[in-house]
Amino acid sequence: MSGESQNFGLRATQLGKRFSSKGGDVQALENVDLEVKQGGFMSIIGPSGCGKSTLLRAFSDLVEPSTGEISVNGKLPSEARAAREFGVVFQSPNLLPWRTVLRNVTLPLQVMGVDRQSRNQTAQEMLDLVGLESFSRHHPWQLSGGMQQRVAIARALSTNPSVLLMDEPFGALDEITRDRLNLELMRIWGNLSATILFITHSITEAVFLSSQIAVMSSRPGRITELIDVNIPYPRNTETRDLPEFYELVIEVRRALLEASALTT
Amino acid sequence: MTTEDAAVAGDATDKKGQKNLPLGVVLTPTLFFVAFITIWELVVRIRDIQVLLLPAPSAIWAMFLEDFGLLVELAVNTGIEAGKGVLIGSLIAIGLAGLVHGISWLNQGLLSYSSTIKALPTVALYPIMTVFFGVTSKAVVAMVAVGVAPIMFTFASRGFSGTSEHDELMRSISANWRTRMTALVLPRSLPYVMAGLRTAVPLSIIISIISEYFGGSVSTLGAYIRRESTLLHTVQVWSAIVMACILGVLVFVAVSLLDRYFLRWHSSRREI
Ligand SMILES: Nc1ncnc2c1ncn2[C@@H]1O[C@H](COP(=O)(O)OP(=O)(O)OP(=O)(O)O)[C@@H](O)[C@H]1O
Ligand SMILES: [Mg+2]
Repeated sequence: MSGESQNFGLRATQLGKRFSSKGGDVQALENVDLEVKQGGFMSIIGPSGCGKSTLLRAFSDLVEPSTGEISVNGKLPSEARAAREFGVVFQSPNLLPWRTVLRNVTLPLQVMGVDRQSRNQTAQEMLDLVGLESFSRHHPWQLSGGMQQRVAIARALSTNPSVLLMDEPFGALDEITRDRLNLELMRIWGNLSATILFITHSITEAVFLSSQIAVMSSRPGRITELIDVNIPYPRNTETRDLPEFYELVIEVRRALLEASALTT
Repeated sequence: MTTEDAAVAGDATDKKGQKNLPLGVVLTPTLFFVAFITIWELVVRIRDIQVLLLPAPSAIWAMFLEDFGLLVELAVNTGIEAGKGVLIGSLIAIGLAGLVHGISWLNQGLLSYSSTIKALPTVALYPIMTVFFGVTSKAVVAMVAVGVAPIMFTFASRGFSGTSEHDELMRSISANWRTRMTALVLPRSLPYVMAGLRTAVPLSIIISIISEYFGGSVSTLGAYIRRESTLLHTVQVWSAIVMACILGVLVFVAVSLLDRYFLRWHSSRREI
């Protein structure tokens, strides 16, 4: 790997992915170029089925690219996965129902062979971070959807990854809970300085969180526009009242409409 | 939905029914039972039926109480044989299902075999067992294991074949085979294993008693029933049958309690 790519937390060059099935082929991704600097926060927004999850799954080594190159911290996704450099937060909380909250968070550490005492301690710290310190002995079903998603975030953070891949983590939540978790995510990210790739359908969420927003169109899935969000961090509740915030919301909405119009 | 899936979910419906109709579920069978026993008692007394043919419930009950210590000992021995058979049969079946899961053609082949074996009257194989193990307790245990294994294999194999979003989670954290098995595959298949046990455990009691009847360890329910019936001790035979029924109910309750404990996380077992 070249020294230059070391500076990128995530990088895709001319990435393409074609799914072949009996019903016909789907070009899920085509000529996708994407660069997220280390410590950057990139959101991806686009119409349903445009290939956002496929892109994230390519970075997480869950999907093999058909063409192009892709790297996480300058490494192949498979290498980065083996080195546990990224954590994934799935669209659903994806917690194991037979494990307590604490034992769900310790799972990645257990896989790494961390001894019980220190993995419990780390997990407890992660639960503190997401504000669920008193729920460690509960089972997932005893928690609300928002709390479950916070457990999933704690789990992804437990191995202290330098890259966080989040697929619509707050997609199933109501607006108030989502706003609160956005604030929490900002606070957590401020302490971690991880690279984040964040998929969302919410324009305000994308603007509030990101340093850059990639807008995608579908069939084939392409990045049509990159929008920089020049609102300084740390961001807080007042950020949503700034005039720049509104302007960016309008700009992203326009870009999204144009991207959708490209869809046949 | 396969029969195995239905068996996993089926329990939930049962429980809901019980919660909504506790009175009907308890009262109606009790009334039927009392009526049945009363009529039996009356018929035996009025028609003056010989004890050899059909003893009155009161006589059976008196004998049951008199021989209680002996009957408990017999039931415990039968229970131990059945338990050993279930344990051995289940371990072999689950182990085998774990080994061949992922090898589709082998799994399919074994599944067809276990379906066939399930449909056969396996107890008829008992004479063959006695060729291998002699007329001993071991032969009874082996017979139970043979009867239980195909049931447990079908359920376990169904459980292991399940997939869920958790598989992607396991891959994303680079879980090794051992963690994948212990943290995901085994707990995920547990509802199927428990559903299998709900069928297999009561069956194991039946197989034990019948095998014992055809010759096996001496101090067991089946052997006792055979011995007493050749001596024409009909009342003793009936009191042993009462004990066998109690044993059947007890093991069923035990399995249900285990089910509730091990599957307290399962969506169909939650009490909210
Ligand atoms: N494993 C697969 N096999 C075949 N086709 C797939 C597969 N995964 C995704 N696709 C196809 O690729 C396209 C992009 O899917 P993807 O899940 O990436 O969309 P998305 O942008 O995440 O949509 P949403 O916003 O609804 O989650 C879709 O047309 C989908 O049908
Ligand atoms: Mg998606």
